[in-house]
Amino acid sequence: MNLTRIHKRNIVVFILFICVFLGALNGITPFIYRALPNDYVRTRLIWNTIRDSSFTPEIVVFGNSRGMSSVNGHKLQDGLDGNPLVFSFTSTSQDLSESMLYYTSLPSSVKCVIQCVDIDQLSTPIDIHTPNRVALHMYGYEMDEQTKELLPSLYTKMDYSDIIYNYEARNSLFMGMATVIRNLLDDDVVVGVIETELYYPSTVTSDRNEVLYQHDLEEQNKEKKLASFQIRQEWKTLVSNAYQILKSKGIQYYWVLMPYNPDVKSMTDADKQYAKQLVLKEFSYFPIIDCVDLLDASDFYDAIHPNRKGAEKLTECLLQQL
Amino acid sequence: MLFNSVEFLVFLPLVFFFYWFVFNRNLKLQNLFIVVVSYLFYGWWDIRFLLLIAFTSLCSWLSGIWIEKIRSKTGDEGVTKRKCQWVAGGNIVLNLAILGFFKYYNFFVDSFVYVFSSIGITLHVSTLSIILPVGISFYTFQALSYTIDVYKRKLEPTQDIIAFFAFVSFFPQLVAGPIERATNLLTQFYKPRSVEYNEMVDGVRQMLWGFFKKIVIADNCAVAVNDIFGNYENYPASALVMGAVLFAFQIYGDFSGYSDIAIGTAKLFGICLMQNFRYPYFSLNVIDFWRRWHISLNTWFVDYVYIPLGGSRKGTVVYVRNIFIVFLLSGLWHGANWTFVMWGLYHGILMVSLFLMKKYCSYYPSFHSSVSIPVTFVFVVLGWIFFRAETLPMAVDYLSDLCSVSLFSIPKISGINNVYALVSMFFIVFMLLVEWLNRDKLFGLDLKNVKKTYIRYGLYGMILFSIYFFGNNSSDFIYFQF
Repeated sequence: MNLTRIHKRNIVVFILFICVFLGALNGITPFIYRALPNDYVRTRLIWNTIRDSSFTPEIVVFGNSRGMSSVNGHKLQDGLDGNPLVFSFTSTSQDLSESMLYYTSLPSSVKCVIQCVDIDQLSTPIDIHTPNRVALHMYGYEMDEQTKELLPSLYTKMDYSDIIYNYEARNSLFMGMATVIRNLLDDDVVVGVIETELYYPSTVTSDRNEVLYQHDLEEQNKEKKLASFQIRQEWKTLVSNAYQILKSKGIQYYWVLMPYNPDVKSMTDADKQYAKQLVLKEFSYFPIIDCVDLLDASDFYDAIHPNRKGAEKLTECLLQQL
Repeated sequence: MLFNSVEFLVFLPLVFFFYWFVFNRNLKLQNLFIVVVSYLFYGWWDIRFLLLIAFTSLCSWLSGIWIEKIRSKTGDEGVTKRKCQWVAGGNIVLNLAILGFFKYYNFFVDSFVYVFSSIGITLHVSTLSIILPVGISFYTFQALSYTIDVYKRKLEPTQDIIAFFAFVSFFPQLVAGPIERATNLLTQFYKPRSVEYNEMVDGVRQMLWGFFKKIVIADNCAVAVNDIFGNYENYPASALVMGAVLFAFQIYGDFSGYSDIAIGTAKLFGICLMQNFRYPYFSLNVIDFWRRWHISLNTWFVDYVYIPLGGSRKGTVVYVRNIFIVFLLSGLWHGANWTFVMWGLYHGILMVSLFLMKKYCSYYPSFHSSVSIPVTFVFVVLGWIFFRAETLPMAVDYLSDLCSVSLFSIPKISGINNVYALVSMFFIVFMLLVEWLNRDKLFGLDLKNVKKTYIRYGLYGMILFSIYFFGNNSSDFIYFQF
């Protein structure tokens, strides 16, 4: 390999260019992430609301997008005695373990936590989705000591350097564009709800999108989520510890077992009943509201998310039980 | 090991350093180093695959030695020729048997059972759970070319087993081509290599362009394409058209992207590989398309199947037969599925139709390229529907669903996949623009004539920006399965 001085200089300049350019892209990623809309922007809303002492919710609801579209905070607030302030801290793909990251930071005004739970999650290992982990980091979430003790496995999974987080957030530009384009193209989307709505962050207006519905059903029927269901020991321990923390803060803890769509045939009635009984028995030390069989197929927008009619039914059920 | 992986990002600079600065003093040692790192690269998928490639290489090398030994003994020329025929034929049959077993056993068993059951005979032949070794079709064809070339005296058999093993397993092109000939690649392992600065720069640019085509174009197209082909019954015809067009660019970005990365990587090691794609979507007709698409495979079939069968010199009937044989084999080479056979047949029909039109029609229309390029593209895209469909009935359904009034509706698919389609189209336009401007060059990002540094660096920046923010590392290279 015969290289002249100029060649060597050019190679060094090229390598430096690549490194500096990629470093710069990595460096600007958090600004792009925070500036553009994305599916996980509710994390910022939740975290800012929790830390803002001017908000004094008495009831808070946690859960994933099924919880977002199922629990109507306005209706709950209006229907309960004394009209307590109800906030929905639900967000996209927020698993039970992610909800628990907020438990220790809840404002002192909170008297009741309603946790929406998908039963099938309890048979899978405790984990957090990468986009959710990235959103927590990007929007400034910091884990306190009590939460580190409560969720040591999540602490390990979230303990990465800024460079890695920035790299994992590199699709933020794409996601931002995607959100803007979807809002423009999709007639069935309520724009801005995810970022600002603290009561009922349901993002759709119609009862059903038939194309999406059939497509989703096919996808859901591919896996048997509740077959040979067992609650993992790590969940038993975690839920018990989380319950103790809330109890020590004087907070009443409720679980809502989220409904499954009867059109999803891969989940048999026997499997659902067996799993539900196991959960009710295992966690009998706090109240559990059973909504597993509450909704009909017509109450779903797609294969898994209840529509407004389904949300009405589920919120009504909560009102009666609370 | 995938090109678009962190492992390769570490692997390549290390291999480059040891190749040029540690093992460069001794040619044999440098070749041995190539074999070792190529086996490491290939064994990253599954270490068991190494046995197979080593066996294929050894048998092919021994066949060459054996042929030479037979020829060196003086005797009856007819007997010598027959013996050589047996050795070469034996090695060809052995290689094809291995390929056939791993790739086609279940396909033929299923097809036989189906044919017999349709005439009322139930066969109880069980299929096997066989793992398809990555890139088996590529290296088998490469090894076969050596045996045939030695038998035909186009190439002297090599005594150098290390050079031969390096030829069969050279890691940049091992799993998805270009399918090299021994006359080009093996001979490069005989002599000391050197690399010029300009070649190295070219190599890096070609790799960068390949990564762009794979990660930004092919992988983003893949998301929309998978959705459309997976739910084609639910979508309007306009969305199906979009799916077929996006698949055309997915497979182009995926396969030509791989070839660009392979050729660029090889240049860094002082090895020159053959051009595998020459802007196929700028073809003026289907014959032109096949001169530009997967050139290494098509020339392989021309040299080792089409010409030995008589090519076009023995009349129209023989020509038509040869074309169909070549395209059926080409279809079957791609995979053990009737969809690939149909795809080959479709192109065979197009080729023969064009040939017959040229030969027998007194008026053969000649269009301006602004018409003939899009028309050719439409025909090619229709063929890709067979290639992408999982079964033949699905391909037929897909094609029949295209013929509906919804062809004129806005192509809308589910949720975020609309955005993947839009983003893909934006980058496809960018790629076509760059490739059109450089259509006389060997690859899209050949910037030799661009003297202004800021323009070159501006382009690098745009490509890196696209890869970083819009790259979608979602899928393997499609051609790995072949």
